[in-house]
Amino acid sequence: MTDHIVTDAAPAGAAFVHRFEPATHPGPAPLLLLHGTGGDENDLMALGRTLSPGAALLSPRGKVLEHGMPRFFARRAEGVFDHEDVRRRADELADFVAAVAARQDLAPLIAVGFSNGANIAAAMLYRRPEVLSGAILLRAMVPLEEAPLADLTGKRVLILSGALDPIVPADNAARLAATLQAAGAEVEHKVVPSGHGLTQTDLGFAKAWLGAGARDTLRVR
Amino acid sequence: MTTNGLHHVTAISGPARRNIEFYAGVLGLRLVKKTVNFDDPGTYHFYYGDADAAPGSILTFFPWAHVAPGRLGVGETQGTMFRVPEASIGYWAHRFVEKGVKHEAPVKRFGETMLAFTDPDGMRLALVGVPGAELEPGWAGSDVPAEAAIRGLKGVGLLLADIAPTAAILTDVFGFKEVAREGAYVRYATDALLGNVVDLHGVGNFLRGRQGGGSVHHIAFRAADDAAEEAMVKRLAEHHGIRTTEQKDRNYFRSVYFREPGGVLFEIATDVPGFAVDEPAESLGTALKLPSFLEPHRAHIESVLPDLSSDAA
Repeated sequence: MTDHIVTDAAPAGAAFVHRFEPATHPGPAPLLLLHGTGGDENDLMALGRTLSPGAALLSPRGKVLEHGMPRFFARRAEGVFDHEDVRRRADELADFVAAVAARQDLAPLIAVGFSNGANIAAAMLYRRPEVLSGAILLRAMVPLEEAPLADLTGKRVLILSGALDPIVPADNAARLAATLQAAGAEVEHKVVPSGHGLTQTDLGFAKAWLGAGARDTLRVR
Repeated sequence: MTTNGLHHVTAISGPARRNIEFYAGVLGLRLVKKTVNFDDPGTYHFYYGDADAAPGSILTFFPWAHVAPGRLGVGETQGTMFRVPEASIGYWAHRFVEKGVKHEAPVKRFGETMLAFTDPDGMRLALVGVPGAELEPGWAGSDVPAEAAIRGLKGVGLLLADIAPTAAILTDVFGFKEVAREGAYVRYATDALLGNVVDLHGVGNFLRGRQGGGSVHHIAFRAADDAAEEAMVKRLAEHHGIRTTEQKDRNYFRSVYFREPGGVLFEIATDVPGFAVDEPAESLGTALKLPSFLEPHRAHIESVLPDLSSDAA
């Protein structure tokens, strides 16, 4: 068991260090980009542009530092989360996203999270789903043991897991999918033949899923 | 015959089917291996080559359906050249017009006729008329007549800020010699038949490249076997202060990688065991081949790979 030394990078309640790129054309849902452990606010910008050209992009930096590596919440060991901190951080991030959305006049965002970023995105769906219209969860795990607080009807979620991922157990990702589905979300869970890292395969599935969602929206109108 | 020279060139392309249609169809290369990217098994890795899949004839691609186009800059490959019989340049110019391939008028480069063109992703390519190439056998398995068929790689051109450190590695480690200068181009060559040319183009300070569709990902140089590769690795460390990755087994060759001083990703690849290691030489490229560690996941991988029979690929 490694000892994960965690320090606050910034006091709770303070704004997140972040990057914001306004939309360059109307239509696509804004994306909330959430990096993995050791990443920062720049990591997923290119991914965001590729997934949804022209969409507004909001990319915060996780405030928790583990051996100097930014994360979105504290953990006690790999796969063992500090649930108290997960709740607090998910709420804090949701407050920040809501504030930016109000200031920039954004529609509810689609979270795109990788690894630790996917876990905090999942935690936001459990606790504060009103700021999100959906989520793409890349290599996510179950973030909290309690059931989601709110009804997730109308929220679209894509979970992409790696068949050869040494970090995320297959049954854990399956349990996350089942939990979100039971809470009313429209969940698609795909397993890609790769490890924990992001691949072109993930990109293809994520892009197709975003495209399908955009078409549904048009049909509704 | 020396084993010094290029082993293969690997590039990034757009959709898989379009890549096959261009390289096996328009250019008439032989698809010698259909496998997956070992680091991203949900995507293909295609190898094209000559009839024998000989080292120095191999051009490989990672097709990524949603790739953003690359942008040429210093520290990367400026162009990839194929060998063709001199008399076939007219045939090829005509074929490019007929197939809607973007190309330029033929020019003389280092005394040879060069026909520059681009693939559907904007990858910069050229056919070079090589005296005597008509005497070598050409692949007859495409609709390009064997007498006009591509005879392996000629080589590559690299765009560099300063050519000296790269030239030192070509000459000291990979057995190339400076053979000619023309304007800002310096040509280095070995006496191998295929893939024996590297042109260095020094341009001083210029924008860095951005890898993407149409970009060359890396260039691989030949080593006869593990011992020869090991000797090159040692030379790189002792003479140039460069460390390579550990050896990776790529099934058809064994490789080490390093970033050369000019910024280009170089690989050293062994001639052994070659492409007939997992399927018969006469049916190369027909079946999807997987490395043993991915074989248990075959059904899953096949379900995820792009469909080569539809436009979705």
